[in-house]
Amino acid sequence: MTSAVQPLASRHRAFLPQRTVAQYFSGGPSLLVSTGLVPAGVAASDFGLDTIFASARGGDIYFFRGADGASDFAETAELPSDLLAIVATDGDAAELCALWTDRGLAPPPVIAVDSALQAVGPILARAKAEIAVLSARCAELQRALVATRAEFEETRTAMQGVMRTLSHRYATKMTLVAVVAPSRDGTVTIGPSTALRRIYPVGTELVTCCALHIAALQHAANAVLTVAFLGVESGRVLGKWRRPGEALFTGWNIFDFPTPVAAVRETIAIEVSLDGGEGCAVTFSLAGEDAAAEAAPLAIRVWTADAGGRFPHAEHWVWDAGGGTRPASGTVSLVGAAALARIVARGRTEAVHDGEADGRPASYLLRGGSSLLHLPDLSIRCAEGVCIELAHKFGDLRGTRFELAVQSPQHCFAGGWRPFGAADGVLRLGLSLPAVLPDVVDLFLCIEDDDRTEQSLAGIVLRQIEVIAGPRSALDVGPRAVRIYPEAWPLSGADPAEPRFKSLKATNYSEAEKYALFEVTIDGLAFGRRAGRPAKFKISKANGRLSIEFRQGQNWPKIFQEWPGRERDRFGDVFRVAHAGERLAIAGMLAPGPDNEVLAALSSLMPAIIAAGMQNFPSAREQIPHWLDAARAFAAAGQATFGGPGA
Amino acid sequence: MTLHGVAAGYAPDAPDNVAVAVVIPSFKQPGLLPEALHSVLEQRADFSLAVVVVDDGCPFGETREAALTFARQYPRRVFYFRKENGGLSSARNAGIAFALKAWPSLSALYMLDSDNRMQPDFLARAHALLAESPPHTGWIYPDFDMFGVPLNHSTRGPYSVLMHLLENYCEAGSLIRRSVFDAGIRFDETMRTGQEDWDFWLQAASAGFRGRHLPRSGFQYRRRIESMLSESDAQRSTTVARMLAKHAALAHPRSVMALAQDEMPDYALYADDRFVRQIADPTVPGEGRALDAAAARRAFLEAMERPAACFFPPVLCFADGAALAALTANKLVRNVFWRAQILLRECPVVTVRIGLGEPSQLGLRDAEETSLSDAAMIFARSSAVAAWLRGAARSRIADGPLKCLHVTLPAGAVFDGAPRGRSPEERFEAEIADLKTGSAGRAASLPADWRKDNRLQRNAETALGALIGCRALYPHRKRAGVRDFGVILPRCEFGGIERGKGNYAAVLRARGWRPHLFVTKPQTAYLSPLAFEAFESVNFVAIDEAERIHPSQHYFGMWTSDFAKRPQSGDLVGLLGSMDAVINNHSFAAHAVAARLRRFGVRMTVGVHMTERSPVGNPLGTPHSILGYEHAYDGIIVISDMLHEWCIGQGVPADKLHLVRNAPSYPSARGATLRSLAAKKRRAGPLNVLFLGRLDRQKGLDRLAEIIRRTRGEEIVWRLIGKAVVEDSGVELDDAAIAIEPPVHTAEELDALYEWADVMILTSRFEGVPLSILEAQRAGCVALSTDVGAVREIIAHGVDGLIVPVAADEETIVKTFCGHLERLAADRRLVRAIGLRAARQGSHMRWDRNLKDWIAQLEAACDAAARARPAALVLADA
Repeated sequence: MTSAVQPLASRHRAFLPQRTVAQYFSGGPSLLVSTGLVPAGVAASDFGLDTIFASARGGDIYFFRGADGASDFAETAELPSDLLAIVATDGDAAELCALWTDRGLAPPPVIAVDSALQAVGPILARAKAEIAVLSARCAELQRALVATRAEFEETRTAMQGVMRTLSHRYATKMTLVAVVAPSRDGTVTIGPSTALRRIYPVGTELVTCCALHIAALQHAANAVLTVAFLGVESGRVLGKWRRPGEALFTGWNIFDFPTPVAAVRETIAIEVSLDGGEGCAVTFSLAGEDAAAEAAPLAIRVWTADAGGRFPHAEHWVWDAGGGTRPASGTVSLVGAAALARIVARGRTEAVHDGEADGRPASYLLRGGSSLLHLPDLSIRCAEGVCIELAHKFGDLRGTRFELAVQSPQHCFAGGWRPFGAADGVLRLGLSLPAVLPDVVDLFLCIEDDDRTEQSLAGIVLRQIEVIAGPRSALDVGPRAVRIYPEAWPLSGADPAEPRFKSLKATNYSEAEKYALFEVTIDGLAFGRRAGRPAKFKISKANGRLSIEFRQGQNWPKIFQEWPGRERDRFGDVFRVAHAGERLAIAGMLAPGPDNEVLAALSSLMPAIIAAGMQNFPSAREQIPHWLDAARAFAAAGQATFGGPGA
Repeated sequence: MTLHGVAAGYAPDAPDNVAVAVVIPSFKQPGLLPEALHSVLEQRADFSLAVVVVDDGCPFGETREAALTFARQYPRRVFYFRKENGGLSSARNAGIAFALKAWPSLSALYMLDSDNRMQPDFLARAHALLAESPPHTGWIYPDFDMFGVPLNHSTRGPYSVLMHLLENYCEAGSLIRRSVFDAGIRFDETMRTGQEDWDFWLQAASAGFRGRHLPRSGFQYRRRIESMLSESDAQRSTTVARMLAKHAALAHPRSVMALAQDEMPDYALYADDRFVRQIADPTVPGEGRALDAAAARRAFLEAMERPAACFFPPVLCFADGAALAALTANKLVRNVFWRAQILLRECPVVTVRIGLGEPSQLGLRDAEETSLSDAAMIFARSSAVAAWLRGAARSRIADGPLKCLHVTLPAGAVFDGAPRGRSPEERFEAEIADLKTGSAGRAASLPADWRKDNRLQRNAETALGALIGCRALYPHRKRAGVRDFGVILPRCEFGGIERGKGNYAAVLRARGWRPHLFVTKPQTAYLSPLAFEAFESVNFVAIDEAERIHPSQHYFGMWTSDFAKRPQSGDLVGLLGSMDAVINNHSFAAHAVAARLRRFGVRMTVGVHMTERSPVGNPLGTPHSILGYEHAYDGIIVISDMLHEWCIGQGVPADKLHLVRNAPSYPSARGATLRSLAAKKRRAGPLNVLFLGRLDRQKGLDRLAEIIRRTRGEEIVWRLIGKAVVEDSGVELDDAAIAIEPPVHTAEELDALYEWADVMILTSRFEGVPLSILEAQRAGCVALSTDVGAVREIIAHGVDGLIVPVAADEETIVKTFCGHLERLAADRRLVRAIGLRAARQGSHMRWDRNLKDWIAQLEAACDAAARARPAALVLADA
């Protein structure tokens, strides 16, 4: 054993009450008063400060407080530390000071008086001096704090600037630093208000995204999955996502950080929890090894990237969770591959995949006509603009125009039509986002390509979609005259047997109190193996339900092989089909075969017909949602009646 | 001054039930002290915490101000006092003393440097782990998570005292159980240049406490470019040497060897399908830690991936129980394990094949190997298996040059070679396949920790080499209260020295010692039944050229050894280091390591048997060589007065010399002497003359041949018993036209020979104290010998034997022999009279009597050494 404290070479030993010894070293400041100065009956509180008494006994000094009633004194190497002053007679003061000097310490200030009353003034003066010292120190610390805050603010501003600059560069490579593969059978399910936590022997620094493997989803469409990414050692939340159930899918679900985790070197913990109605559940895959073991790790993938090297548009990221700083204005984040893979191509533009694992198309094939690339549910919270970058892949694009638009249920804004003009073969379409837009919008790339023939195809690459941080403009700049109804375009690459039409003309819209109607002429109606038929009919809406009316005669193309109508009015033969209850009411005798099929096709196309047709009536724009609802119901009734489109 | 009972204005509360006290020594870091304090106050714990700031005489008033600010703001949580400057250790000790006095309820203390900090859950985690650990867990230590200059080092894995002797991997910022301080352990206040925490931990380990790692602790260490530690790195080697000298209990070779065996046993034994044992000694039943097969596999793979954090024995042994039993019964099992470990340095796999040899023969020789089939045991090097699992080129690990240890058991030993259950080859192949599968599975999973681990690998041989200068450790567990005695022989056949030392072993065994035989040169030995029973183990050193003579260094013209300079000497030290005492009989390799073994606490004795002369007459032989190493020995045993005086004349201190006279090498059957005397009394007819011994130049076979030629006939009948042991093959006796009978070794056969013989003749050119003369005398034979060595001390000419002077020429010598034989042949009464006196003399000759004084001194010296040696390490709660 090594030697402890050396024995004191002191003329005086110091003693403290054993039971309360710690209290003499905390909670000060205190006065040290020699008992020789204190007449009997004077309470310690009379001094107005915590008071420690010192009493000499045979050369040793005993410290106590009045209420200690102590008899269990023990020798101490330490002396009470937070003493405002020693209050004692001259003789006693010298003896008390010797306690300190013998220990190589400077004694506290001494107030040498002959009576307690004489001490009051000096005590107050001493207290005042102590306050002055503390005040000066406090002021000094405040100044230091101000300087520190200023430096922090400058650093923060500089960092934001750096991040903004870096965000405009191409992203650096991601490195897959950890993989825990899913087992075939090992899973764990969480339900409403349940949570899981797992720790992984992986460092948090520079993590840029992670992915969890979902094996199954039960009634999760209306649930919300919360994923938290923590540092185990500190317990801090470094990232959190709240992802709606409808955005979850079986397989690897990726959770992006807006920027790689910086300057935190801890161990990763993942917490998952689910909020939702009864019966909803999310099943995660467990690791391949020890999948049956309790607390088996969830299957996970973790990537890192260079600090400031990657700025993905972090979907469902909770900004307030980890104390993360919102990016400075102008900072660009890129919409991730998972989101790009959700783009729906409508019309004759077709997505081309080359087997990339992230699911996004390698390019888009332009076949002519009007088409649409639709990215639903894009988060634009705290964003001032979006920008899409296209690259020319092959073919002639001189006659093709592109427009970028965003649309919410109430608003639609577009950036105007632009051609591919740049010599570098890159087209960037940008759009400022007005403040009226909500946090989630649909993004559209509209393509007009009417001059193209089947023999002159072209291709473009959608390189990236950027979301630019910043405050929104209060101006409604760029409102689009006509809302975009995606249903107006058939899904690209749809089955050729699916009903479709080439073009549509809508005329003669009229609206009364209880009904509205317009006329539609469709060119190029095709379904099954039948193609190219024209069709003309009236569509009316009353009480939220549609009905369609066919006529035969001059100016009315022959739609049916056998006229099914049995009615006649002053305008001639009429055949009506109305939405009644669950099915369509057909006022006539519809022959099986082609005639049946054409009506089935028209009923299934009703939403597209309405969407395309109502575009022609700006005054009735507000009615479009009602017309579309009625059209969808009509199509559903048609399916119930005919058993499927184009059958 | 008088003492008054003054009414209190301050109402003292009952002492807080503080469970953990954090001691923060503070000196010249006032700006960072608030961070440290804040991190303690922010701890999320369900027990009461207190912080004690010890101002170590800091010249900056800011330290006092900062600490008092917190003490005033957080009374009953933050405490402050100032002391005269005494250094970090003294500040910590002062804080410890204060805390122990102030809070009797303390269960643990934590040392926090004032420039470090901790995450909010650190103390709760550490306290919880300490609470669930056994009482001998003295402290909970974190990983090194450094900020400033960021670095993250792992210290995971079971705590190892052995590795802690080599490097300090426990941060001072560890939570320490109160009982460590109650045991009187404090920081050394004389260590003011760093490493005082390392010293503290070693003190605790000496007292039986152990550390335990806390993963993901949340302790943060500020790493600056220049720090106290950086300064001390330059002085580190001096400090480390001083530290090991200070911690004699831990650093003593015996302790280090025991630690190595406990913490890092050399062998993983796969002899059972259910579990794998990690063992240090294959002879101890239930030895070592048993793991089920899957756990053993995991442990292997973890050690492969994280050799600094995890340990698995470096040698895998796949054995059948029958083979192990046969090797154990025949005293060879430890040697097989030890030899295999050494051979595995050159190849990945070593097989063991067992065969039967001659009666009394034991052997262990290495050879090349080509196949694992039918091997009785298979040893594999863990590192080779690991390299193969990582993707070595070979399709099978056993492809490539292999080695084999061929074991020879005595004829009649019980071993049929048939394995009980799976053969070692099947076990080996199955385990390798399972490891391959396991390794592939682990390749797909995450590593154990993302932190780096730059510690030394857990390797006992490396640790032993660094700490005590030995390599392959003999697989031998010391047993409490039992002493181990090593007998070193350069060869072991039926020579007099071997037979004599066999008797030493028997006497010592009867006194409770465990004797072990170490044969340094050949890989075969012949043991008499007495020796076989006496020795606990038989070991063939078989270190290449261990007995090689130094090419250029002589001591007064006598041979010396260069073995000490060779790394293989560490293996011999490892082999012998666990002995309590050793007697070296003529091994140069043992001379070379004698001094090192003494530092291990081995009582070293050397045996001197005879002096020789070269063919050209200059003195040579082991006594002369021993003089060059005399200082390395505690004692020298001589077998005659002549050698005793010779040694003194050569400057050997008399107190170092022990005279242990020879005695007959075997216990004769009860009544054998009487029967022999009776037979001789009854005998009429020719004189029976017996030669019994090695057929080599030393024995004067040329003389013997001439004597036989001149005297054989009707009156003198000869029998020659012997075998060529040294290079000479006894060709001189070819002309004698007498069949040479093979050696006999059993007591019955020897008694019968001596009963037959009237005369036992020795025509040696040099001898020590021939055992055959003593045996012949005991049986009442007339010993007729040249006057060489110390023969005069056992034959009184004309009284109990006859001596032939050798100062004369060869013809005179031969004539004198012939004359004596003819006289005896003519006078049976003379034969009987001399024989009777010889028998009386021989009846007093006993090994236990002759060894008594030396053994008493040896045991007293061993007891004294054991008392002086630091106490064996036991766990604090054992």
